[in-house]
Amino acid sequence: MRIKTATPVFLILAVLLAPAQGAGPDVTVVGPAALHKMMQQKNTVVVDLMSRIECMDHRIAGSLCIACEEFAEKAPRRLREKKARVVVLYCDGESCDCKAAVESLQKGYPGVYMLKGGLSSWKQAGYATESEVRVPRAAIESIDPDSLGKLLGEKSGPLIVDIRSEASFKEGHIPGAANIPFYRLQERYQEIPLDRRIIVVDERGSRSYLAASYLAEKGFEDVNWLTGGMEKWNARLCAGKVKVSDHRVSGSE
Amino acid sequence: MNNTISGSSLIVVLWLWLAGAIPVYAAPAMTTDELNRRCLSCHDDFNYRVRFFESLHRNNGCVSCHSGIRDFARHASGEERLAAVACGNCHGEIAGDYLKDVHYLRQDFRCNDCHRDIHGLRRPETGFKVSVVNLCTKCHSSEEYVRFGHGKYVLEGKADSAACSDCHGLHNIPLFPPAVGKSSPEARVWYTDKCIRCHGNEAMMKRNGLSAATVRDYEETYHGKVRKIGYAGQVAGCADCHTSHNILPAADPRSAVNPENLIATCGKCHHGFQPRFVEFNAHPDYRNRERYPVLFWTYVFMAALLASVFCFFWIHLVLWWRKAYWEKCRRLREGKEAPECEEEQIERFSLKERVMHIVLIFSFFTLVMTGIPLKYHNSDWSKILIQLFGGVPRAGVFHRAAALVLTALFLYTCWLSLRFLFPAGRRMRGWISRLFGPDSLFPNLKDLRDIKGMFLWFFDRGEMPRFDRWTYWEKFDFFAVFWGMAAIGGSGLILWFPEFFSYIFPGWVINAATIVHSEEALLAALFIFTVHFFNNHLVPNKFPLEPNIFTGRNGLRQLQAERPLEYERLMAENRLESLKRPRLGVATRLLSSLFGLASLLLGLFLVFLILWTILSDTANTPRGGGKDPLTPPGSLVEPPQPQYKPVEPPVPAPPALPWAGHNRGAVNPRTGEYYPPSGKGVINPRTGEYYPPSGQGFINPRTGAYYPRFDPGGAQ
Repeated sequence: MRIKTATPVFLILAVLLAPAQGAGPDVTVVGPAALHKMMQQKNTVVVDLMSRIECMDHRIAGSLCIACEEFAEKAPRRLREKKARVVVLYCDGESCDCKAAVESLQKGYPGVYMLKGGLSSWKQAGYATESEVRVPRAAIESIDPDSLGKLLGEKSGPLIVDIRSEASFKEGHIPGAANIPFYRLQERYQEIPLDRRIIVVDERGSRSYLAASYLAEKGFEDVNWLTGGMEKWNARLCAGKVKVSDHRVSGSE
Repeated sequence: MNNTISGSSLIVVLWLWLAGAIPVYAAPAMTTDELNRRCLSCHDDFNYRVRFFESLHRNNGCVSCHSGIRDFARHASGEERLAAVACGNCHGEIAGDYLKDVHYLRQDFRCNDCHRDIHGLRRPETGFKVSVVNLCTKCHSSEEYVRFGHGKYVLEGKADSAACSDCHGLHNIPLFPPAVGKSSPEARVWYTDKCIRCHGNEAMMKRNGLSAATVRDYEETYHGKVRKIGYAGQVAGCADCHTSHNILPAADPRSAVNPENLIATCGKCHHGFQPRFVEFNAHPDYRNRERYPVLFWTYVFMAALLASVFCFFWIHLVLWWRKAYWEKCRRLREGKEAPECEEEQIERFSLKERVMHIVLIFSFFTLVMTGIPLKYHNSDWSKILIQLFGGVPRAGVFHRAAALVLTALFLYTCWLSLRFLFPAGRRMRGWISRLFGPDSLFPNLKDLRDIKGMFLWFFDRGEMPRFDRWTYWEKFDFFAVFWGMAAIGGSGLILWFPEFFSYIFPGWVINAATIVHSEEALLAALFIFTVHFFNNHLVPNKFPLEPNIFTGRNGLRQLQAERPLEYERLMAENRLESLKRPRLGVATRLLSSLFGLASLLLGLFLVFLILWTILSDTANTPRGGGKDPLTPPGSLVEPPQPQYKPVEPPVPAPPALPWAGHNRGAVNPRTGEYYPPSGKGVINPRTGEYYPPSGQGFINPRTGAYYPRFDPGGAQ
């Protein structure tokens, strides 16, 4: 009798616990203090997953620059060169969508870690960064989604340069936007016309300012960046302030 | 070039100390003017030659920022480079704050990324606030941030309006977790404080035709109370409804608090409500009869109810105490006070009734201790009490659980009352005689006579009335629960499920429910902890405790004295024998007394806290926000500027350094690294290379770089 009642309980528990076991081990998250301690040991390699421009601008001292998008291709060789056993990855501040690449790495390394809170939390904890080629910060004004929405309706509208990854761009973007991912901006900025107004767009508005500053340094005079990035742009569409058909986020065909 | 830029304050301090410690072109000593002339002999741009000497930093020579040069000739030939400029050398406090600033953490901004024209820096002609707005909007679009509201008013010259820095901070702008739509809890805590800092300032609001009462009224709503008790992150702050930038008056159709937009605004946090839910007032002034008549009269009614109940019962209490005390003294004097002795025990409460009362005690104390702190959110004890329950969200769970227990008790009591009136088998027969009979808790005419009789007895005009099983004050206790459950339970349910109740009532009923719940709670707590406690326990002939609610028994003599009519009735009906019970054991009696006394003390302590808070609140009437706006109100003035000592950067007391006491080694002027002496030359500790002496310093034989001799004393 007792066993009979226990069986469904076990079944329910098994169902509840199943997804947690099936998902595979998650990347372990470490805080800045733990990373600092890990860096004292040999064979710990820290990797900056942001674009080369951002990584050269400033990074955790001694870290490698391998952009998230190029990670699967470039990381194995460079980590081998460094004789890495423990790998710690980080982005700007929020979590990076770099899971697939990170998981591909996990098989060969005993320790793969992610820095909690990214570079901002490292700086917040008072640790040092190093700077190789600093992008001069320019006084570049932002533009809010509403104003951009109005501009898009005009005839000689601006050129939107979407610096997100190719994958994110494919999922949806502002109509007419050109995709030059940040990690390739330094090779491809020459494709951007010099005589048009440029609006730089990113995920959440935290990276586009630096990209805009980079473009300004390269001689683009009329550059702006979108406040809040695609997240705020999409929120504006969802809030119903605009008819979605007007400024639809279009997928690429 | 590989610059190591340090975020660690220790390294910054070392760096600065070093920068200050290295004498700038020490031999021969030159005045600031002479040094400046040397610099200008090459760096003779208009910016340095003219504008710098009109700037705020003019009293500082070139070298007070650009340090690290020991030999102008070597500097001119490119052999000696400048040390990095360390603004924190003078502006130390700002530099410390800035290490937590979002512009540093996210965008890695350095001082001169905002303070661009540093050599031509002047006191802004436009005034501090306008200059802040102008500077911020260089990057943060003016279209988005200063089109309306505070920013626009600042640019129009309104001195009290908030510039960017008044809300965000100047060099300490915090980094909050990202959030789209509604604020993160951390941001809510920060910004609501900032709003209230000015909007709670009576003088400032009066000057600008606004009212500081808005803050006081907000603090009387659930949102405001939870914020005040220390959980601002959990509830709607100002910006959640009014938005953060371009704030517009409610009449403007673009405003987030315009009636047309309220459904979306409230919908950011509340879901599944009927549109009239938004008729809720986020900060109503229930004292204002014209604008909020329903709330005004609700408050008046509740206040009158409290006043009348306490007026009657507290007078009753004092008079009774005087009479009973005198009586007791007289009996003691006359030797009539009988000592306690073994006597027969008559049952008064069944085991079920006793258990019900104990459960009631637990649920009532939980409700009071988790609810009353919200009512008196300003006091420190409230915060402690809420912390004891694990914070507002968890205290809320306790409060609701205890409310469910109390409701279950109430419903069970209703069922028992019905069973009393309509016992099984007798149907409707005789229910009226049972309702007004001596075993009923329903008030009857004899109770009115008893009230009169008691007051006559208080004034020595007659004997104490002869009571039957239930006295009139016990009946009041019982019926107060019926009224109380309707008022406090009904309003509590509305506050528990405000969205659901919007399908039944308009939103302003939530405001009324807040008042009713809050005042009724005060009534219940004060009544139980003063009147009920006195009537049943603290009255002199029972002081300090009447344990019969826990033991269930009265002594026979006590029954004869307190309830003679019941005694006579039991005798006449021959029922006394069946109610006789054995005397309880010592352990049970002790436990009953301990539990009863602990409850009494806790209740009295809570009353003390409540009354103390009410009295001190009435003593210091002004409430609401602080009186300490970020910038002094009244004019477009900047915050007080600290006076910086010109030219000589202050040298902070150096921490013990590895080379303390040495006076021979060398210093790499670019990185600040110290190279210890080795023979006649020095050693680079990182590479182990030996640098031989050369003139006043040492030379790296591989690169030809020159390293000046390190001498803290400065004498060479």
